[in-house]
Parts: sequence; structure tokens; C-alpha cells
Amino acid sequence: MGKDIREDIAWAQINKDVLKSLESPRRMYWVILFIAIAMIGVAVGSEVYQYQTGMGVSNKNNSHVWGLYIATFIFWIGMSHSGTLLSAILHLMHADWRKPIYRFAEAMTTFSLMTAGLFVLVHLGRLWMVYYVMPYPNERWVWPNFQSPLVWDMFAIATYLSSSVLFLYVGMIPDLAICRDNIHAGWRKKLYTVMSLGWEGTDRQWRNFRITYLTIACFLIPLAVSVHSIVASDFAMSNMPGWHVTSFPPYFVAGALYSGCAAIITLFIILRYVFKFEEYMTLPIMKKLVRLTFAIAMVWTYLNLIEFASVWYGHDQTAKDQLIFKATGPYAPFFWAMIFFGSILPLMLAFKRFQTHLPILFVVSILLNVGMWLERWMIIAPSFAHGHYPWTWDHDQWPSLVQWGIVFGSFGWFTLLFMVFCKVFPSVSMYEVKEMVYHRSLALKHKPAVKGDY
Amino acid sequence: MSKRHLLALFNDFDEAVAAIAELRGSNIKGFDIDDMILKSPIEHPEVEEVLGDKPVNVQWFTLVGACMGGLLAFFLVASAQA
Repeated sequence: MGKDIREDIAWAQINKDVLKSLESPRRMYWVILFIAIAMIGVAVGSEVYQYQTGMGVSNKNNSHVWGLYIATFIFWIGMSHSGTLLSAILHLMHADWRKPIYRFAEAMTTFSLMTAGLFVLVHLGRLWMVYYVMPYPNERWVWPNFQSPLVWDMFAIATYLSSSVLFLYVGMIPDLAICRDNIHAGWRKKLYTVMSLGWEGTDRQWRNFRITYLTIACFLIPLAVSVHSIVASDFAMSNMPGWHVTSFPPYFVAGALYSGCAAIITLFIILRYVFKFEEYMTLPIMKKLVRLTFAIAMVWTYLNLIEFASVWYGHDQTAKDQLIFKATGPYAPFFWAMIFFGSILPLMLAFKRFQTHLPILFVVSILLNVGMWLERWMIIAPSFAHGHYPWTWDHDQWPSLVQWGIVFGSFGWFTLLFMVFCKVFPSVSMYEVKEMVYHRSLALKHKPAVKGDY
Repeated sequence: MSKRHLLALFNDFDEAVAAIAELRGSNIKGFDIDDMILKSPIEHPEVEEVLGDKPVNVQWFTLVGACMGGLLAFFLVASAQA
């Protein structure tokens, strides 16, 4: 395998390449931005129509109370976990190959959570009463039920969002100082001056920075695991057939890491091309990322099989009926597509020839996320269509164009936030790439010239 | 007594660490190791062994923040039930 990064890249060149990405991306950047805005337009139109007409236009009904909105909410929450994996877990494991790519993964975490939050608003019938979902004791006689996972959700997601914003920002401070020192005028200069908090790179600043970053990383890991475990508890703690499964929390966490890693592959390829980051987002790094994704895909597959086996061999007849309904009922094409995209397709990633083939990886990574989105939908829709009550059984539901439009537009919203971030802030961590180059060149200097010199 | 400043530029990090270690061991009159500042574009945790511990007040800032947050939460709950 080749080198993760060339150790002879000059530090000034690293600054120059990354700062250039803030000014002159390829034309494709503007095309992506335009498409994203058009997609948001579809979502805004659909939401306005739903708001003015009522929730009926989304095709939700008494049985199907969540629909695509909550399925997509879980999808976006899941997507956010990869940033924590790359920045916090791999940071603690000293895996330095993460350094050129962790910044955009962290940004992805923040923007996925912000996108997920929108779905809580979208699926409300009376949007103007949104503050009712805030679980705090109040004078409205709507007391929060602290035994409900939905209340835990609120706390966990709000904490995760604020912590990941803090983690992203703290990790960027040395780079913001580089931007401040290299940009001479305009709003960017003011922005970077304020945000870099007077960073000068003194030994004391580096010490405080290291301790702060490490502390937030240690805090974020259990938080990320708990967030998706709590989202899983929204389902597992109910007695709906198909949901009351002990392995749901680890299954959700594995699915979250899986979809996040697949999204990192997609964005890696886009950023590498759009911002000309070929020197930093290298093929050997992609190879490691693909192998990590493959490993997580297999964990997800294993947990899926465990779930099916425990339901099949268990004594809960309604849960077994639900599994059969998923595999043979009206949702069967989506169920099998989930199995194909989530468990069969990633087997391709085990082959070396595909691990660095960017066009194939681009398509495969998107399809993996299609599979992961279907997984979330297949958790929600079949259980609502085949619950304990027979009256639900003839309520197969196909979401209306309004629902599809809002889900479609959420991808545009995420893309817009992400692409604007990458144009305003350095999406490759300059100081960490310099560290990587420095340590590798040191290792090369001390490497014996001939094997067996030691 | 006016304070004089000395700026030294090093091309190599090991040389900078050696210079700091030498200064620390030299016991120059009027020179305090805490007054020395090392600026670097990347992190060098190993330099802390040479420079020694310096007092940090960040934890007090965090403690005050946590206490304020706790108090705010208490007053929020208390005022809602008043």
C-alpha cells in the first residue's frame, strides 16, 4: 500500500492548498450548491403546503403516525455518528490517517444533527406549538414524563449537538488563526480574528488545547453511543411487534456508524475533486476508510441476523408474524433491497480492486446509504401496518409526494450547509496534516537505510 | 527594572528543546522559566517536560460555568412551579 501522505510536502504548501479551497473551488462546487438549493425549494414548497392544508396531505393516518419523517430523522441522527468515530475514537487510538479527513466528518456530524432536528418540527401537526415538545416543568400542565425515551431523546440529542459543535469549533482554532494570518482584509478576516480567540500557538495554548480536545473527545464517545441507544429505545421499549428487541441499541449504533462511514466515502470523493485535495485525501486513506466501512457493515449484518434469529426462534408469535410480513408482504421489495444494499453490496468492498476505484466507490457508498435509509423505513412502516390490532392490517401506507418532497429536500439542506461550511472554513485540518507530515518525515529520517541495521 | 525580551528562531524543534533545557539548567539571575514562551505551528507535548508545569485557571472558569448552569436550571424549575 502507498503512503497515506507525502512526507516532503512543505508546510507553506499545505497552508496554500487549503486556503485556496476557501477561494477558488472547481465549477462543480457551484453546480452542487445550485442543485442543493433547488432541492430545498421542493422541501419548502411541500412543507408550506402541508402547513396550510393539514397533515392529511402527507398521507399519514391513524395507524401510520410517523411515516418517512421519523424514519429520516433516525437516518440523519445515525449519519452524525461517523464524525465522532473518526475524530474522537480514532483520535484516542492514535490512528493518524484520520487527520486529513476528520474535519469534514465532524462538520457532517453537526449538520446531520441540524437536519435531523428539522424532522421533529416537520412531523408536528401544529407547528406553532413546537415549544410543547421541550421537556421542562412548566405552567401548561404538560409535565415531562421522565420514563419516556422520547424525553431522553430531547436531552441526548441537544447535548450531542452542542458538544459536537464545541468539538468542531475547538479543533478548528489553530487553523482559524492560520486563516486570520493569511487573509488580509474583508469579512473573512474579521470572522477568523474573532473565532481564533487570539491563538498564537504558544506552548501553554497547545497544552490547554490538547487537554480540552481530549476531554471533549472522551465525553463525546459515550454520548454518541447513548444518543443512538436512546433513539433505539424509542422503539425497543414499546411493545409493538418488530420493535421490542433487546439488540436494538447496538444494532442502531452499528447502523449509525455504517451509514456515516458510507457518507464519509461519498463526501471524501466530492471534496477531493471539488477542492483539488488529491494530495491530502489520498487513495491509501480511502482504502483504510473502505476497510473500516466493510468491517462495520459486517457487524451490522451480524446484528441483523441475530435479530432475525431471536425473533424466529423466540416465542413471540406476533413478532414472528411481523418478520414474515416484512419479508413477504407489500413492503417486501424494500426489505430485500435493504438486505441487498446493506449486507450483500458491501462484500464488494472486501476486494482490493474496488477499494480505491473512486467512481465505483462513489456509487456504492450512495447505495449503501440507500440501504441504511431503507432500514430505518423498514423498522417503522411494517410495524405500523401490521400491529397488534387487526384494524391496522389493511393500512399499508405509501407516503404522499409531500412526504417524499420533504425527505428529498432534507438532503439538499444538508448539502447546502456542508458545502457552505467547506467554503468558509478549512475542511482539511492544516495543523494536523503538518503534524502528520512532521512525524512521518522524522520516522523516515530515523529509519535504518538497510534492513537489519538495528 | 525594565524587562528585556529575547527572540530566538529555530529551524529544528530538537534544537529549540535543547536550548530551553540549557536555559533552565543555567540558573541565570533574574530569569524565570515561566516567562519563556515557545511558539510552534504544531503541537509538541514533549516540550512540557522541559518547561515544567505552569498554573492554569481554565478549570475554575469551567466550575463557575457548571455552577451557573445548575443554578439556572434550579431557578427555571422553581419559577415554573411558583
